[in-house]
Amino acid sequence: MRDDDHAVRHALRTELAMTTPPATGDGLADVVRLGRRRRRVRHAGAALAVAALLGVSTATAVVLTGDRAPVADVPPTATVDWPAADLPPRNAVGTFMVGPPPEPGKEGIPVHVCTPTGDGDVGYLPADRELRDAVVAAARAVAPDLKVGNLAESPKQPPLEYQAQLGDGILRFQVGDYGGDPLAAADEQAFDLANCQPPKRRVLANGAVLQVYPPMVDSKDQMLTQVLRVYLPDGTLYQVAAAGWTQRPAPQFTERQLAEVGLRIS
Amino acid sequence: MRDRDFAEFYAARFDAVRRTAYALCGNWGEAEELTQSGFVRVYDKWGRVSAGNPDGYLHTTLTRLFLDTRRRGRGRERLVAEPPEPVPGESAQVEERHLLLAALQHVSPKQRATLVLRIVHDLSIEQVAKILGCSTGTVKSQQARGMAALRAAYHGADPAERSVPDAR
Repeated sequence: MRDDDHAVRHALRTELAMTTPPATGDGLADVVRLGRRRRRVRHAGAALAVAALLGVSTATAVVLTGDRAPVADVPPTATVDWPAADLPPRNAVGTFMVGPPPEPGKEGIPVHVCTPTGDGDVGYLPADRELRDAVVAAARAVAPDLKVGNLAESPKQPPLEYQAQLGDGILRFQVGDYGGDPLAAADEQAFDLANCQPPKRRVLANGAVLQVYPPMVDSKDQMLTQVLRVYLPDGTLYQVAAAGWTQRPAPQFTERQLAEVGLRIS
Repeated sequence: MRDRDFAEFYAARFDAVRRTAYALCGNWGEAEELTQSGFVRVYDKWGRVSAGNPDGYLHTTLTRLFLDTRRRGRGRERLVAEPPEPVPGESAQVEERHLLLAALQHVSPKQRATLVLRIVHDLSIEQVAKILGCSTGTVKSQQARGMAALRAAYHGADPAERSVPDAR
């Protein structure tokens, strides 16, 4: 930095230190009150996700590739063979059926819903163009037959999210961070998405942890969504989600394709 | 425990954060709102961010809140070539004797945020790039242009009042 820059820095800091802010009331009490309300609203949103899940019980042509009942319609390559995180499953607070319309002798797929332990969103850090392009390039590489658009910042915030067309669905990308060890953070957030079964997980040689969650319905837009989180060793957290409409056929990522995107950006 | 830790964090950071917000927006009323909104978001995520980098989260949140307000209210904020005449009795605006802070309000919002993060907070170019979601090259150019704009606005002020002697 040049000498005159230092002079400006010094003068600016001095002016700022000499400003006289007006007296305030008990700001902490207000912050805590508003913070609790914000958290309640967020948790209420998660509860709505449960209601939304029940609402899609009649959805047609939507196939979940979760970790429960085997699904004949899904080719075996659609899922990844990563082991589930070594965490005990949680007790469901509700169950819904999703899949093809019920036929005699054929049922939909049961999906169990649990109270989420954390936040379904992680995004508050911006993603630079290079990173967004890398995500899009990975998505196009693993799904060459699917139309994948460019990631653009969603006007609805928070969270800070980037979205792109993904066939008839949406590719969502968020960046946040976490503290401590990647595996510990992944464990702590393993049930953030109202899932009851632990996510499937892979630990890379560079220390990055990838975990893919069972498909759920996003509370914000009622879309069937499968989420992958990537915990990089430097404390950066990526969340990649493939979302498809629940009321009509929606080509979107398989679990394997979602996992492949994670591997390419880790 | 959660609230007690947060209360300590709040008490230790509040004044500095409010001054940062003031440097960004030049208005104590808006600075108060930005500060409160920033801390509310930190409280909401405290369980997660307290173990990591709560200061980084707060910087990012505050900066983005500021830039969002400017994006939404772009039509209401108009950059001007010359500092406007001070309005008598408008005590909420940047005080007249603080010429650099007043000049800072004539720098575009993103350049202003870059200058505040780099100059006031001494954050690295990489840290600022992460907060603003841009490349390090963009941070450098935003800083250079911001400094030029700051100097231009500052030198438009009364020479007798300047605290930086002919810094060019």
